[in-house]
Amino acid sequence: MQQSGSITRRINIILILSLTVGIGMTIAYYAGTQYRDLLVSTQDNLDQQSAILYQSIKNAMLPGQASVAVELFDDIGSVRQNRQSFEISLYRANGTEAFSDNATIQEVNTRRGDRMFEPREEFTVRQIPIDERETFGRSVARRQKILIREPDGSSLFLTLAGDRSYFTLYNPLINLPGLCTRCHGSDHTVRGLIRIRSDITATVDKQRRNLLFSSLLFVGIVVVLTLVLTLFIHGHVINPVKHIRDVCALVTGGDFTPRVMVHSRDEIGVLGDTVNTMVEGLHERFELSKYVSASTIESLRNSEAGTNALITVFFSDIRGFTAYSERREADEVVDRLNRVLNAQTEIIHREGGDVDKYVGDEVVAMFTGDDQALKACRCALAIQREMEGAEPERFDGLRVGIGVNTGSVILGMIGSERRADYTVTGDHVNLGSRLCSVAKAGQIVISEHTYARAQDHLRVSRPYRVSVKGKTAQQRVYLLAGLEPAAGGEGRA
Amino acid sequence: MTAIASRPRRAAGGALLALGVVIGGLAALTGCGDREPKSMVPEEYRSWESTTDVELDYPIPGHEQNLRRTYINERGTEVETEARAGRVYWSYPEGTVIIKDNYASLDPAPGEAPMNQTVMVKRPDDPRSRGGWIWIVKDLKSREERIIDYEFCFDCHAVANESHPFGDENLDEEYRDYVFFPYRK
Repeated sequence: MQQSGSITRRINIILILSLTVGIGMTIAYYAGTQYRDLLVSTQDNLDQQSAILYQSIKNAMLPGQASVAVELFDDIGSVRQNRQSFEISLYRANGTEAFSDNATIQEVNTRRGDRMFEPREEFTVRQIPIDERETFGRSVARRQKILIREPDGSSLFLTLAGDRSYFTLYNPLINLPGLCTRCHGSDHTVRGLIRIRSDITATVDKQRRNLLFSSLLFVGIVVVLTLVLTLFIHGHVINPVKHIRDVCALVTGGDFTPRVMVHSRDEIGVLGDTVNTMVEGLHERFELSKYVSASTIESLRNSEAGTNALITVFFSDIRGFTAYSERREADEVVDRLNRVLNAQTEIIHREGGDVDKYVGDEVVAMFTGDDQALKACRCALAIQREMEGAEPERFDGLRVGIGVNTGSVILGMIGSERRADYTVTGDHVNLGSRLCSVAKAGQIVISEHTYARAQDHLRVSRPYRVSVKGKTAQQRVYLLAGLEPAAGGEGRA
Repeated sequence: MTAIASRPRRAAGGALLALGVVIGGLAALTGCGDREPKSMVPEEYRSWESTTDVELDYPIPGHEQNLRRTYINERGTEVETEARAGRVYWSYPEGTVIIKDNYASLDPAPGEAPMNQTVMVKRPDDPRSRGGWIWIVKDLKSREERIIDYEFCFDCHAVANESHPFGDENLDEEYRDYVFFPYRK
């Protein structure tokens, strides 16, 4: 399955996801545990305070020493005034605040049968707040400490700014045998209850600020890391890959000169080296292909065996070339010959033909397809126009004769194991060659077979009968003069 | 192509395996595998000796209007006493179990089953112990055993180590290892 989108975008997504999931979850977990640990620590502190207070009350509440306990709670009251966020109070099991009325004094005096304690003349009865009575009662019934968080179920994330948050601890005082029971009787288990209420809003706010700062820091780190990693990947992966892609695109367009600039010895560098080697190899093969016909290349590609096929063969030969070459230097001869061959080759390819081989000053080409005869004739006419119409110095007066024949030939890889060509052979090939031989300079001689396949488009001189080597009967041939206008012809130059 | 394409899958598999190991390790560290403790209160205790002949049919804090009957296991009968600096110290051996049947009233009907049990198990090394004892309340209907690791039981029984209003009232202020009615042979 192919994936769409750029690598950069996918890598960025992976980076951000990895950082968010990895670091983000770690920070979230860390922040959560820190918050929980802080709350647990605060709870433990309250627990310890209540335990100390419990022991203090137990030691102060000796028989007949209630006044000491009263003083103790007066002192505790002053602590409460100094620290508004912290309240300590003592309640009787029925929910009335201790020492806020005369009930206990009267009960103890009655139980003892004397007036050990003088009732207060002025007092204000205070009760446990209504909204705490249920928890208070539960603590008394269970004879167990209860700690609650207010607002109930609030968390670091859910507590809104401005809300106040509290821990309240209820710690029952046991009606201890001997110590308490002497004055208060043995018919109840819980003598009273210590209530400690601590405002933890500041702590929660501090944690919230820490979490906010951590979150912002995390976002900043993610952004910076993403940028850094993106730049790194761009510099070391994406841009080199794009550069390699550009080189490949140029090579695909036929330009074999560019090379990948290799700056590193990593995987990308090795890839660049490999691409450079590949381009050099392609370039060599491309250059070699100039010397191998397209049909040979196609044959090699398809591994074709020998076969019969209808082909129009094209033969062109420079007239008087032997005498021409004897009068000139070799380099000039080669230069002129190459000019003539180049010009013909260009036209053959343009007209859809395939150069089979060059034999000295002779060109052998093949045309295939339904309109092969017409293509070969059009090609021959174009070559003669090019040759006849050229400036004298271009071809130095060299002219060609052309023979064209159409017929069934044998196609195959012909040669030895060390050197072979994918070429044609057969009687029709020989006839084409013979027609070329009889064509004078500037003439195009076509066989009756070729004429028959394209006669509606050709303008020819009436048939001639010629004797050709290897044929006992005379052959009927035509001199090609041009194309009918409907075939795009403009005649001979 | 197959071999190349399979590498990311292998890497992803490796990453998942590593993640599993990390999560498993964290789960082990955070103690996800805690198991329920076994019962610490023996069922066959009625044949044990009683710690006292006193009928515990008077109200006391913690048990209020409930008749109590106490039993001590054989290990507890090996209690030792030692005098140090003029004070007698009682010491119950580790493994001592004292079971107190608590009835619904001070005058239960004959054959009436207790409503719950309060139990002392001597295990000084147990982190849940207070004063060397694990304090347990067992609900005889649900069979639930609740360890009381806060003041409730412990604070009352600490009074047993000084002079108190029960039994012989411990006027000599012996250290009685938190037992109000010490076992006497």
